[in-house]
Amino acid sequence: MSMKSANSNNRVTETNFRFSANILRRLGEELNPSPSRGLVELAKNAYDADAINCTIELKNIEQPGGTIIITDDGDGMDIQEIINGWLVLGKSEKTLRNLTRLGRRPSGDKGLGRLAALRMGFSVSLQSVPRESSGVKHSLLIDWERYTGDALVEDIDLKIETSLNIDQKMPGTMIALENLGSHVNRSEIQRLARGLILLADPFGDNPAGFKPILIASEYSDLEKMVEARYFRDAEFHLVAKVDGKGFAEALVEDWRGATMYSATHEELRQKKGSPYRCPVANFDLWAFLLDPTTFSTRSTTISEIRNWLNEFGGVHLYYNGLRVAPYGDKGDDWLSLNLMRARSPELRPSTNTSVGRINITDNDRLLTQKTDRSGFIINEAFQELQVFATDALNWMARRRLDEREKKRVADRKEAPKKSEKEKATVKQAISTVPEDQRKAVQNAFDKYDKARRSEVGELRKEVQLYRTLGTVGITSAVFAHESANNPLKLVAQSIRTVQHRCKNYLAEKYDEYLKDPIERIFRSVDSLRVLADVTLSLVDHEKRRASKVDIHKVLRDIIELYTPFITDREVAITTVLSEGSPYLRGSIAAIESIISNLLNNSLIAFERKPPGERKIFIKTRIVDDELELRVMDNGPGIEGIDKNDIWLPGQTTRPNGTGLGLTIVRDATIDLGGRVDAIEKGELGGAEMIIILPIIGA
Amino acid sequence: MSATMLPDKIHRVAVIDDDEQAREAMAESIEDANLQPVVQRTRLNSLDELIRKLTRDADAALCDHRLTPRNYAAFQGAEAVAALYQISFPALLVTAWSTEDIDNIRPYRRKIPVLIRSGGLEPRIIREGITVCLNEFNNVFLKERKPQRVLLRIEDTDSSFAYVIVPSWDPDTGLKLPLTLFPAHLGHIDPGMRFFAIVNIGALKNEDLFFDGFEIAEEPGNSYADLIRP
Repeated sequence: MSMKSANSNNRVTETNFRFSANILRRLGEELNPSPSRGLVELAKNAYDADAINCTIELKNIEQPGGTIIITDDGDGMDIQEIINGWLVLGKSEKTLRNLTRLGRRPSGDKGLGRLAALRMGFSVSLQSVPRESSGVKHSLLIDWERYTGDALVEDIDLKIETSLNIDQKMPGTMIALENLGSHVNRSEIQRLARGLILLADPFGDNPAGFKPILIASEYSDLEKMVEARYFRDAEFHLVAKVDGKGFAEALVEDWRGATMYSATHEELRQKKGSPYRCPVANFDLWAFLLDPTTFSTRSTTISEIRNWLNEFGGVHLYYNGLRVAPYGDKGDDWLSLNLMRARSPELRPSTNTSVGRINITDNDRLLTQKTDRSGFIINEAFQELQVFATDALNWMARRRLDEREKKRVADRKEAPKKSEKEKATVKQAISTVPEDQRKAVQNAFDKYDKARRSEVGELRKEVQLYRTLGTVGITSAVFAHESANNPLKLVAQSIRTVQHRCKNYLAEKYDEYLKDPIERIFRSVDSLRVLADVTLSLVDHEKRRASKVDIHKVLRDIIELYTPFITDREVAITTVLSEGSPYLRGSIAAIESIISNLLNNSLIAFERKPPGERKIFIKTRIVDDELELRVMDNGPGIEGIDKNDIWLPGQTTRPNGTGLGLTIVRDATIDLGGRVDAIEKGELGGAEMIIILPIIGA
Repeated sequence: MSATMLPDKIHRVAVIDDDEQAREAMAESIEDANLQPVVQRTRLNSLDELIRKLTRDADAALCDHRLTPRNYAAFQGAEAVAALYQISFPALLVTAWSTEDIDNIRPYRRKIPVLIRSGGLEPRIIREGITVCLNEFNNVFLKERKPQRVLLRIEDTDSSFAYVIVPSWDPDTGLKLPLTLFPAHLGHIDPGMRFFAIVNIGALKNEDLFFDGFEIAEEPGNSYADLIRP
């Protein structure tokens, strides 16, 4: 404390906060109660110091009094770094922007976790040999016994001893936490192991990568986990390679390492026959099935693998042994794994569910790195490398799809047997029920079984009906394609020639004798062409893609497509659409099936009505976040069937009807998050169908 | 007869179609256009063979797009017409106009000046079509066919197609382009990428648009970027 005169009457006394030594314990324990996190922070210090190896050795930790030694071969610390860095708590000396000598991004922790770890023992000894002056070593001993009672932190001297590095220790730092205050349990060490894996180079074979090693003789399984990462938890391991002549081969192993499938160059290469014009490459990809069933029997948890994949997921690229950024960095998906997965979610790995690497041995220097080191120039060799990797991924997906299909078929065969077996188990259980209640239970079960069998029967019929309709659809599409391309084209072409020649030869007599019949042929050809177009338009695969769908546009397109039929049947369609273009995320096909089935229903309904004016009225309006679509007609209305039953499969009042149209309408609407309703005799006198669809905007 | 004047050198028009009946029908239309049909009845094993025969026996060609179903040619009509365009040989393509056909034809569309819907072949259209081809060989383009360098962006992609917006043609309409249209040296085509390309933005319909000469549109350089991004 010192006093200064500011002016003749006032005095200024300078002072500062001081801390009770107890605060150190409380800071360490209360702000960071988990010792494992503190130990991970010490390992992070080693990582930031560009260490390659960092060993955390746990000795006799099952009871109090044990020792933990953290050793690294990083850059070590000089006296200033110990004083202004290591001994300063709560302030980060590291700037996250500056990369380390080895190009690592410093973790930027503030040292509170470190304090928690250092406080684990009664004393801490630090030894550091700085890389810059490796002839000396600095030692520091912290005896926590001195930090008790009323002592103030700044009053307790710490001595850094500098001596010649006589025993020629390599640069690096060693911290020993001695005489631990309590035992360290398994869950702590498990947490430590997970933390270390997150710091480690994922594949462990990058010469400049960080390799944490856990030595804990009592927990050898966790030692191994740190060494092996989570690769053993992968469901599949794809191993593919291209040799010096550009020929590839691949295999997929299951989690036990047994080969599931293998492929030759011919099976892999999509562009048949030719070699890959890329350097020698070895591609490994570990794909994980992150579902609770898979992990229910394992020691690792889904969340720790998710964290790890979040850090390292994606395909990394190593060029002559050295990792090349940005391939496989967070957010880099140079092989478009995520895009391919979006198309087939079940069987494709994404950067969140897989980790992989491609090791390139490029003796002929086919690849060229960009001058700013931000990856390779996209030349033919690089593209061919991408093609090779993509071919391998596609092949794996095909094999898995094939396997799933086989399993599906086998499951279907197995299901009745399983069902019978379970039924026998229930019967056996019923036989143990006391006799006075047994009959009642047996009766209840029989009733249930009958209802279930009838439900299965109905579902089977429904599946068969869908299959039949599917076949009808495919066949119509093929015929439509054929007719549009061949006979129709020919009829149109020939009648045009007939018209042209007749006009020339018959002059004004053409109009008198041939104009009407020839124009009739033209109109019929147009109608036939529309039939083909409608069929082909409905099966356009593009329409089954999930995207932003403008409902009004689909509605207008369908009406345009139907116009020839509608005109032919003397039906007048009126539309009154809400303002704007309401849209949702779904497929055009789904909206089309809703509208076209409703239109079909109306057109069919008119056949049951005496001749007269035929009207269809289509109205949309936006109510809050939903679009209400009403399709109504002046047909006979819903008759002979309860309005709630019209949506059921197979329910129809027409002798040859499929009874599926409105089921499809209902299913498609529900799939889009909407709901359906109907009025037997609506505004126009006939059926009025109401479809409510949630929309994203208009 | 049609008022369209054709140069004297155009007289013989080859008929290329894998359907015999269709060939006869096309030949009749050519006759009605006061031109002489030269019907190609035998199989064409290569584009070279086609070019050799046509340059010897005909002055122009009428070619159907689908030539492979009946084992008639080793190539599609669009490839043939584009190859003939390269040597300034006028050729008109006939197609059923299905979505599939339009996608297949698109990569060759710049070199296909005239696309006729099957059944819509009229003597007048044959003569006019040949004139359009001859004009293009002299760098005289219809407004709908004039090539212009414009910017386009990729909205989305899937395994086979890129979905593209050409703002200078229609900022609201997405166009489906086969990924094969993009030359391999452009690398992987991803959503958000922008390209310069030669496009006939005067085209009235999507199926008439052609795309050629793709170049990656780089991000604006620093000095310009500073101006537009404060």
